[in-house]
Amino acid sequence: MSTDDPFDRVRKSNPIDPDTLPGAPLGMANSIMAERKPRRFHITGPARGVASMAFVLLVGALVTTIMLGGSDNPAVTQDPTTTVDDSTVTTTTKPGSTTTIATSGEDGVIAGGPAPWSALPLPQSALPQHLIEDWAAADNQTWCAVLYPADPAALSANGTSRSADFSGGWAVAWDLPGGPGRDTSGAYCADCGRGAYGVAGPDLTGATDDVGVWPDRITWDDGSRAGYGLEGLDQSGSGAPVLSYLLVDGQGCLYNVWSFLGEEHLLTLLDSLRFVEGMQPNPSN
Amino acid sequence: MGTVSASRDGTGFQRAFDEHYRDILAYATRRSLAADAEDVAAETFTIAWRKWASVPPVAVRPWLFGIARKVLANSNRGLRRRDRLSAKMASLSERSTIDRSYGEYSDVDQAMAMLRFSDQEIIRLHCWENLSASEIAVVLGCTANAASIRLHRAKHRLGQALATTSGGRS
Repeated sequence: MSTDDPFDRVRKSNPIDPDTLPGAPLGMANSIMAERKPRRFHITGPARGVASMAFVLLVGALVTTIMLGGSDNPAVTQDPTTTVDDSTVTTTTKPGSTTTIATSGEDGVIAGGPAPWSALPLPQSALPQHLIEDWAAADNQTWCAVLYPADPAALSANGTSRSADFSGGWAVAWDLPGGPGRDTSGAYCADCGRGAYGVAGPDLTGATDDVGVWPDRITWDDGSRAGYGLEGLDQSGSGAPVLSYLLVDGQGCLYNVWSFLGEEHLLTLLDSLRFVEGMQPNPSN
Repeated sequence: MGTVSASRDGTGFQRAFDEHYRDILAYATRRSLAADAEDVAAETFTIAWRKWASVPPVAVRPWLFGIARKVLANSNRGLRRRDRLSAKMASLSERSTIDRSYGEYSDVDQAMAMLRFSDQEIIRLHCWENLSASEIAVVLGCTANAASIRLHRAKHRLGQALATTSGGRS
C-alpha cells in the first residue's frame, strides 16, 4: 500500500477549482431576497411550532378518544378543543381535563420547566462500573459532568448498558436485544439492538449555536437547552435515530443523547437525566 | 464564518452569498450537469434566505453545503424518475460534465468508486470542499465525533482501495 496520505491524492484530483467558476449573475442575491414566495398553508415563525404542537395534541386526543371506546364512553363524547396563544397550547379532551404545554416565546422552542438535572444527584452506586471508570479516565472530566438516567429500567426493561466509543470523552450506550440500532460497521439495523439509545459527553465544547441546527428545541429554567431531530436531519425514513445536542448550564461539553426508539423515548431519556454524586467537575480545577 | 449575522438581515445574507456562491456552485458542478448546478446553487441560496433567521452563525458555510446536499438529492431523485420514464439509464457519473477521461487520477476515481456512497461523500466534503470534521457534522447533521470517526474509517477504506487500484504508486 502507498505510504502517501490517501486524502492528498483525492485533494489533487479535485476537478473543479471554485475560483475558476463564473460568479453569480449580477443582482441574483437581491432577486432572492426580494422573492419571498408564500407557500399555501405554510405557517412560519413562532406560530409554526405552536401549530405543530396543537396538531399533535389534537391527534393524540382523538386517538385517546378512539382507544377509550369513542362515543360509548360518556366521559369523552365532547370533541376535543385546542386553543393557542403566544405562550401556551391548551387541549381540552373532556370537561375538566386539559393539557397545557408552555412555549418559551422563542421561535419553535418549548419551555422545559425545571431542568431534570436540578433534582437531587444520583449516588454513584446507581451507575454501572464501566461508566465510573470511563469518566475517571476521560479527558473532559473537569468540565463535563456525568449525566445518567434516574431509572434506566423505565427506559427499557431489557436494555443492557456498555461503554461506547466517544474518544476523549465518556459515553454509555444501551443495547436492546431485537431492537433497532447500528451494527459495528455503523450501518442502521432493524433488530441488532446495538446502541439503541445512550448518552455521551464528548470531548467537544458546545455553544448555543450547536443546538440551533435542529428543528426542535427545548430550554429549561436553568438556561440549559437542547435541540433534537433525526440524525442527519434525515427525513427519508432510513432508520436514523433521534439525536439531541444538549447544553447543560455550568458544563462545557456538548452532550449527545440519542434514541433509535423515537422522539418520545428520547424526550423521556432527556427528562430522566441526573447528575451523579462525586462525578461533577470540581470548581477548584 | 463567525462574522455573518444570523439575524434576518440582507447584509449578512449578501455577504454569505458573495463569499460562498462559487463554493456551492463548485460543489454542485462536481455532482451534476453544469446547467443543473446553477439551478442547485440558486435553489440553495433561495432556501437559505427563507431559513436565514435560523442559520448557525459560526457555521454558515457548512450549513449552506447541508442545504445544497438536500437540494441535489431531490434533484437527483427527480432525474432518476425522469430517466426511468424515458428508459434512459444514464448513470450519475455519466451525467457529470467533468471530464475524467484523463489518466492522472484514474486510480483515485476507481478507488473512490469502490467505496460506498457515504464514504465517497464524506471524503469529498473533506478533501474537495475543505470542511473539517466538525463542519462535516453540520452538513450531515451528525455529531462531530461521529463525523470524525466516519472520516477516519473512510480514509482507511480509501487507502485499501488505492492500494488495489494504484498498486502502491504515489
